Amino acid sequence: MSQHVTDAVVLNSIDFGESDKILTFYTLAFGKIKGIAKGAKRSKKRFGINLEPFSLVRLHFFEKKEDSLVRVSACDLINAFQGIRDDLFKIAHGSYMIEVVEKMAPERERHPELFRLLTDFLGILEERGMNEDLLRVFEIRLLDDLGFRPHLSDCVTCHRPFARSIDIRFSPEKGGVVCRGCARALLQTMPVSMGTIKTLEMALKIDPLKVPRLVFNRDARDESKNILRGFIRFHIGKELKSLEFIEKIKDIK
Amino acid sequence: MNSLKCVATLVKELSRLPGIGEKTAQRLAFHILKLPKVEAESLARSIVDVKEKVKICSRCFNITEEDPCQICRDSNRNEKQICVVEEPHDLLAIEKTGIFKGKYHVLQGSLSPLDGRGPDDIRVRELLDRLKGNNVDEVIIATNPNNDGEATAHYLTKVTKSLGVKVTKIAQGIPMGGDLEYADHVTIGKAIEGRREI
Repeated sequence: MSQHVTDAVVLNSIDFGESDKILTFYTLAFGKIKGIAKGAKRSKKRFGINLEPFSLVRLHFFEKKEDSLVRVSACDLINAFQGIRDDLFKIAHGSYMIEVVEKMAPERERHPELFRLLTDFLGILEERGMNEDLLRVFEIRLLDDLGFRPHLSDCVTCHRPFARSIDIRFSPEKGGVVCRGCARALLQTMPVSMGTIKTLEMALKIDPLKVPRLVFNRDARDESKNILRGFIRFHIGKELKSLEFIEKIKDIK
Repeated sequence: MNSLKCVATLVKELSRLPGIGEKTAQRLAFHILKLPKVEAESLARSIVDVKEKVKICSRCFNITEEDPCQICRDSNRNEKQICVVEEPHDLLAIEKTGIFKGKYHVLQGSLSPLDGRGPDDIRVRELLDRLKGNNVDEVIIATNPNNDGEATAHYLTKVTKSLGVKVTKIAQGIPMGGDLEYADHVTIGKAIEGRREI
């Protein structure tokens, strides 16, 4: 039985039995892990808000060889990102961010840069709120950190460079942009312009501190939303619940 | 052999209940086997009774045997105050205090971004209809202090305030018998924010 301590963001928390909780964390040292907190519902002293989604905690856990779930022994709160919980739309967008990480990240695969991306963006969400452009930066960087960086430099199939925007399509299946000729053989492709590709390349390079300053033009906003959401949906295999929720509350003022 | 089949069916049925694993179900089944027949029949009847007699109150959506429920029918309770809770067991918890003398509205759930549960999936529209039709002075939001409960509270605040109704939320902070030193800084912060003059 080995004891571990690592920083972690709570991605999901489900009640289990009389007083336990099953939790999913994204940790700095171990990537995504699932665990059980025994007696968590009874002991507010031990856990409290520390087991709610968004919380950044110092997680103490141990493993038993025969169990797939780790045992959570303690969670010390580092940052509750309370500002997110104080606003309906921040809760909705924060839920989308943690749901994408939960669904995309494989278990026990360490990606410290993804951990930093998530905590940085939870901080931005808490302080400034979220907009579509910031979500696109989050999505493309998450894909990059997990090894799914979309191929944007030339046709992912025949490697010919593009001469005009009209020639370019995006293929979720191929994981990048394809020329018009190669797109004919593919089932699902989406239009994308040269300008959008440049904006996405910039989103991958920009200093995290300058991220809130990046502004997409109208075409880049629509196209990048279409291709990145399509790409994520292709990998997950279904629509995310938090996106359904955002759709359901979008008309509230 | 037949009797073993019955026991196996009982274990299977019990293990479908929340929080009951197969071992606990087996222990419960053997306990039921040892019960006097009259007690076992009483248990079985009570299960059938709740399914046959319990319904949802058409005004507040609490569980009840008579529609409208006893609380909605009670003319001594203040109709101008409506306390909004997520589930019937939350209503019971507030009723046990004996302090609240208004009426209730049970949402039968909460908004949940991670489960994709939106306003149309719980009894929000019915609450708004009640507020439009009655002379309600105050809506007290008593959702759970977790992310789903907070999302629900923010949503209700937005939609009920637009109707010109006063909206309040139950206080958050240090529980009775708790220790400040063990409370997290969010809870202490909420307690300081919600302090009142004594």
